[in-house]
Amino acid sequence: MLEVKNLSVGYGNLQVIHEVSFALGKGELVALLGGNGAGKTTTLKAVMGLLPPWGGEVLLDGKPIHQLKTPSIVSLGLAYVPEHKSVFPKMTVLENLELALNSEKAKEMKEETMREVFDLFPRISSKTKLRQMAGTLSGGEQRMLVIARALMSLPAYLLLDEPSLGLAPVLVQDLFEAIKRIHAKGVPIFLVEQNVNLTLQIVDRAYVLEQGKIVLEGSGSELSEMPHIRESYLGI
Amino acid sequence: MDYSTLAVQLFLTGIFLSSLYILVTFGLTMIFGVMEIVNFAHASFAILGGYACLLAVTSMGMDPFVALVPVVAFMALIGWLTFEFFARYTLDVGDAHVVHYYALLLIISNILALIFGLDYKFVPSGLGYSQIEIGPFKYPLLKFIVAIISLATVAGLSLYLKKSVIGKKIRAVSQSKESAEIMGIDSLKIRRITWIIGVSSAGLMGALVGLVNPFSPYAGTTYLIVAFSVAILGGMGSLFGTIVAGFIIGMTESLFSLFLPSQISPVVAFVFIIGVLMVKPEGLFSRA
Repeated sequence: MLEVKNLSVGYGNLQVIHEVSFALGKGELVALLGGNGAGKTTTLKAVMGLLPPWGGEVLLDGKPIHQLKTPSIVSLGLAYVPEHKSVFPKMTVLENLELALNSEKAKEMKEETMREVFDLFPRISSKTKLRQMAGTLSGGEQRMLVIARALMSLPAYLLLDEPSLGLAPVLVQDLFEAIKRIHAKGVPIFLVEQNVNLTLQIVDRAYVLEQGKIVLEGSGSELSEMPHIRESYLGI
Repeated sequence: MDYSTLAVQLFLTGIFLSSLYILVTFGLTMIFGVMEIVNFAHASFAILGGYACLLAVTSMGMDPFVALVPVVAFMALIGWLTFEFFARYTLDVGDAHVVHYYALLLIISNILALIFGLDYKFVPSGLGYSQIEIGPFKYPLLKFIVAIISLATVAGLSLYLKKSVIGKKIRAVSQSKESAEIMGIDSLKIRRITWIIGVSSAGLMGALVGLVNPFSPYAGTTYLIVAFSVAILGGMGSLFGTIVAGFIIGMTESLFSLFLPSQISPVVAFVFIIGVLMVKPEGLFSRA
């Protein structure tokens, strides 16, 4: 279980996240929703050790990890897919995937994981694609490669930061389908999204972040019925 | 001397110069790519390698080419020490690091001057004026061996970066430190390895140069200028660019040695810097 308790984060003198708490249990698909500037990415970066927390705790199976550096957090099984393009552009698709093999188990399972990953993302699985430089892939393919790469490490928890951002609608459908299938395999996923409509359809639970504070939480169906969500996020 | 002999001579000299230029720039550009540090002290590490080789040969009676092995090991130790006690504290200071590395250049050069004095020294190779015969052509054996060792080192390093796990991690950090860290790559460890490789390769280059040309504690700046020209021409941080640019500058310098007295041959490098900055300021093969 990944637990975040009363997390506060900021930049310089500006506090962005105010005592945010949430949890991601085994096998769950949980979303953090919110508009631009709500603090979603900041929250994830603090969980991953990319920003130092000002206060609060991050617990992985009860053990505190908020003092650890990013590579140590990754080695504990947290895989993070950032919102910006984070492929290594001058390495091939295959080299990008292989870089994620950071544990003995991931190395052993390489062939099998790769088959599963290619099954999820057939667009990047051809032999010619694998030898292509990652920087020459389209935006959507790069996004898929980053998720595929995260899966290669056999993560205990998968944290996705706005995977649908900037994708063509048809690709967004494919992507959410892939997220559902990853979830069905039992990988717990923490999904940060602005696409509230689609997200609420696939998640178990969701939290709504506004101005750095969690203002609502509930199951996907509960939240989609709430008037505030319908007015502010779904436009109904 | 007929024209074909002359052409081959110029070609071989070009290869010789290029091989050293590429070797010295390789470390500089690797450190720049991975650590975002412009290492002015690179030249002084080269000179330190020259003195280390001199000591191994004259005081310990080693064969100069065998001595290259302990020299590289010694330089790796120097690399580790300078990383732990110096370089790691300069990683996040931004452009101010340039001052720190200029200071390091002065510190190392001055320590060498205190120990060895200002006289020019060279490492006796024992090969004298032996020539190697390649078909109908002759070339100094010493320069030939030096070029082979330099090129083999560059080839080995390139292969290491291309194929090995650590090499791939080094390339990953040079492309994006944050993306590398979220892949679980310890960027501090990778930067330490990069720094040690850079310092060792500079030391090796200095030892090789010491076999061919005399050197003094402050002689490194000449090679620093060449290394910067090669790095700028190739596009700072691009290793492939370094190799291409090293050959361009080395070959051109060799060709111009026909018309120019050797003292002003570095002018070639300057002309290249000016030309590149005017036409393609990001270099031939820029990283970005």
